[in-house]
Amino acid sequence: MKYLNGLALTSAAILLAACGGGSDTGGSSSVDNSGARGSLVHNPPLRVTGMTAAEFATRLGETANGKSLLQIAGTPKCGVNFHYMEYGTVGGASEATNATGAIMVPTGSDPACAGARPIVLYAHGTTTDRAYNIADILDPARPGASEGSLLGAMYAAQGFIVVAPNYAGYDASRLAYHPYLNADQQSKEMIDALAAARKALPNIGSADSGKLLLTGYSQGGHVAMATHRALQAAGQTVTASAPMSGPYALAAQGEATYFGNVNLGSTVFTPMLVTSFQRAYGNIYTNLTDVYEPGFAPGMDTLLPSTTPIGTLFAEGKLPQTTLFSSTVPTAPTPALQALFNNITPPTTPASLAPLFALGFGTKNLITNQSRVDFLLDALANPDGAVPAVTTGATATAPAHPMRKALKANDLRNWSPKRPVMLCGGNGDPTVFYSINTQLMKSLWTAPSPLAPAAGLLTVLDVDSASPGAGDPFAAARAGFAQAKAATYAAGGANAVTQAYHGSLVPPFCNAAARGFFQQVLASGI
Amino acid sequence: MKSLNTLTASVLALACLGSGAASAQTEWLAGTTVRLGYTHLAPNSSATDAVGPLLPGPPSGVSLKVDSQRTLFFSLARDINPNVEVELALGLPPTHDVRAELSPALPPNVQRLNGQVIAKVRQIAPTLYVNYKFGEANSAFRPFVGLGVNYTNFDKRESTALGNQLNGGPTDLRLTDSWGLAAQAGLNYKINDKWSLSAAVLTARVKTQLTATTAGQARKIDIRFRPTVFTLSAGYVF
Repeated sequence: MKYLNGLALTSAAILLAACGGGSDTGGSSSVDNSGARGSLVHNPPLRVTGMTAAEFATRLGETANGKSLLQIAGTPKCGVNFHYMEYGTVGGASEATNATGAIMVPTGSDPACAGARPIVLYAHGTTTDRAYNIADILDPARPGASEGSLLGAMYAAQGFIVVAPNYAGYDASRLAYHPYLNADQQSKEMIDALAAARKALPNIGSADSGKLLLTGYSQGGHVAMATHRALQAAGQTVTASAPMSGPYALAAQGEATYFGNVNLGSTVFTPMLVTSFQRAYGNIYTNLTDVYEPGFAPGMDTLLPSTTPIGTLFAEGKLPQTTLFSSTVPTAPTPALQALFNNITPPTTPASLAPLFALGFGTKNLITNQSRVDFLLDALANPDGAVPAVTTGATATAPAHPMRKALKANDLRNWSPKRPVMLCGGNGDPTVFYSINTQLMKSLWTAPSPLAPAAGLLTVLDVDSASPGAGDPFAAARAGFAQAKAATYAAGGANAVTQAYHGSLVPPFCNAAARGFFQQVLASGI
Repeated sequence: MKSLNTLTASVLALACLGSGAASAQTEWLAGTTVRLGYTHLAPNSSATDAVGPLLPGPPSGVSLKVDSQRTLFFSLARDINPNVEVELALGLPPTHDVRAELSPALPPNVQRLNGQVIAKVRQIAPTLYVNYKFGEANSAFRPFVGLGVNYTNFDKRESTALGNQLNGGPTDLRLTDSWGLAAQAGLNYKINDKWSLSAAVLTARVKTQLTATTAGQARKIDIRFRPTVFTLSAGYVF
C-alpha cells in the first residue's frame, strides 16, 4: 500500500512541476541591461536570416534592384548571416539611451570568407523613417532593406564583417529624437555599435582581424569622417576610411542653403538639424515659431523621424515638400543688403541650378524670413571661409548666431587624417553639394594647406567624371555611373537624374569604389 | 532511453498494484478503480502563422505541427451510482516533437528547415470526467461515455538546435495553460469482480499561445489541439 501511495504522490508531484520557469533554450545566451556605452543587450544577437553565397545571389537576382546590385558588387563569394543587435549608447545631450543595428557576417569555406575578417563600420544616410532597420532585409519593401542588401552584397558577401547602426532615435531606440549630424554623438554611437558588435562576434561564429574600415553615405559620410576623427583622437586603430557624399563642411553646406542655394531635401534636413542642435545645445530657439512659420511650427520638434511616410507628411501639409524659404524677399537694413537679398531669393545663377534653387522658395515656406535674416546677417558679419565666397576655406572664426555656432561645432574642416582616406561623390549632387564638401576637403587636405596629410593618404573620386585613362583603379565605377545616369536620363530626362542622383545613382558606385579602395589598402599592408 | 524509462515505470507501477492488492485496503481507496495502460496521443494541432518582429510577411509563413506520442495511462475512478463514475485521468507526461511547417513561398534558406523538429514540449494534462456506463452493473461488456474538463500545462519546453537556427538564436519557449472541455467514449470488459479491461477514445479542446523569445524578440503562435487519444488499460477495483 505504501507503494501505491508513493505512485499517487508521484502523480501529484508531476502536477506541481507544472509551475515551471523558463525553457531550455538549447544554447547559451546572456542579457546586459546595464545600458552602458557599447554594451550588447542580447548576446548572441538575433540572426535575422542567413544565406549561402548561392542563395544570396539567387535572392538578389529576383528583383531589378538586386540584379543591378549584383552587377556592381559582383557575385557573392561568401554566405551572409544578418544579425540584429541592440546596444547601449548616448543621445545628443550625453543622456544614456539604446539603439539597434546590423552585424553582417561572411560565412562559407572560401578563404576570402573564413577566418578573422576585417570590419566595415558603416553609417547610413538620412532617413525620415523612424522604423528604419538596416538589419531587416526580409522583405525588399521594408525601410532598411535596400541599404542593408547593398551592404550585404557589397561588403559581407566579399568577406568583410559589416557593422551598421540604425542610430539613436530609430527603430527600437528609446531616444525621442535623432541627434542628426551631431558629430560628437554620432561618432560615439558608431564606436559604441562597434564595441557591442565585437562582443557578439565570438558568439556568432565570426572573428575580427583587427582591421577597421569606416564608410558611410550622405549623412553617414559625415558620420564616418567624424568617427575617423574621434578614433584617431582617441589613439585607436583605423585602417582606412571612405566617407561618401557627405556634408563634411557642415557649416558651409548650411551657409549655402541660407544664401539661397536650397538643396534637394532641405525641408527634411533643416528641421532634423534644428531639433538635433536644440536638444544638444538648448539655444537654437525659445519657441518653435522663432524658426518655423506658424503653420508648420506646432509639433515640428517631434515630427521627424516619423512612422508616417514622408509622402504622407507632405500630403497632409505637416511639412512643405521643397519650399524652405519665403519667396517674399526679406527686408534688409540697408539698400546694399536689400540688393543681396533680392539676388538670393532665389538665386538665378548658376543657370543649371536655378530651377533647383527656385523649388526652395514659395508662399508655404517652412522657415521664417526673420530667422533667415538673422542667420544671414551673422554670416555676413562673421563669414565662413568657403561660402558665399572662398577665402580661407575654413569655418567662420567667430559666428554669433546659435545655429551657425552649432553648424561650426559639427563641421569637420578642423582635422587631418593619419590613415588613408578616400572621398567619393558626384560633382552634380543636388543634395550634398560636391564643391563645398568633397572638393573643399580636398583643397584643405592638399599641400601647402596646413591640414594636408602625408602624401599618398588622400584619394578623391568624382564618379561623375571622365576616367583619366589607363591605370585608373576606379574606371569601372566611373563607367558604371555614367551608364546608370544615361539610362535614368533616357527614361525620365534631366529631372529624373536630379531626383535619383544623390539617393540612388551615386551610392552603389561609390560603395564599389570604397570596397576597391579598402581592398587595396589591406593588400598594400600600409 | 525514454522508452526504457517508460517500461520501467510500467513494471514498477504494476508491481505496486500487485503489492497494493495483497496488502490491507485503506478506507479511502475502497471502491476505487485504478486503471493503468497505454495511451496514443495524436494532437491534431493547427497553428497560426507566427507573428512578431523580424519575420517575413505578414503572413510570415512560419508555423508548426505537433507530433503524436505514446505514454503510460493512469486513472483513478470511483462510482457515484451503478451507472455514473467520476474519473481522474492522468498519465506519464508525454514529450512531443514539434515540427516546423513552412510556407513554400519562403526562400530556400528557410525552406531547408521545413518538417524538421524545432522543439520538444512536455505536457501534463489531467482530465476529470463524469462517465456514464450503460447496462447492468454485473454485465461483462459495458460501453460508456464521459464528459469532463481538461487542464493542460506545458511544463518542459526545449528549442532544438534546428529550432534555434529557424528562430535566429537560443530560444526560450513558453506556452500558456489551457482549460477546456473533454469527452470520451469506450468499452469496459469485466474479467472478474476485481479486474477489468478498458478501451476508450477521447478528445479535448486545448488552446495555447506559444511565445518564442530569441534575443529579446518575442514571436507568437496560437495553437489549437483537437487531439485523438486512444487508451487501452487494465483496471483493478479496491
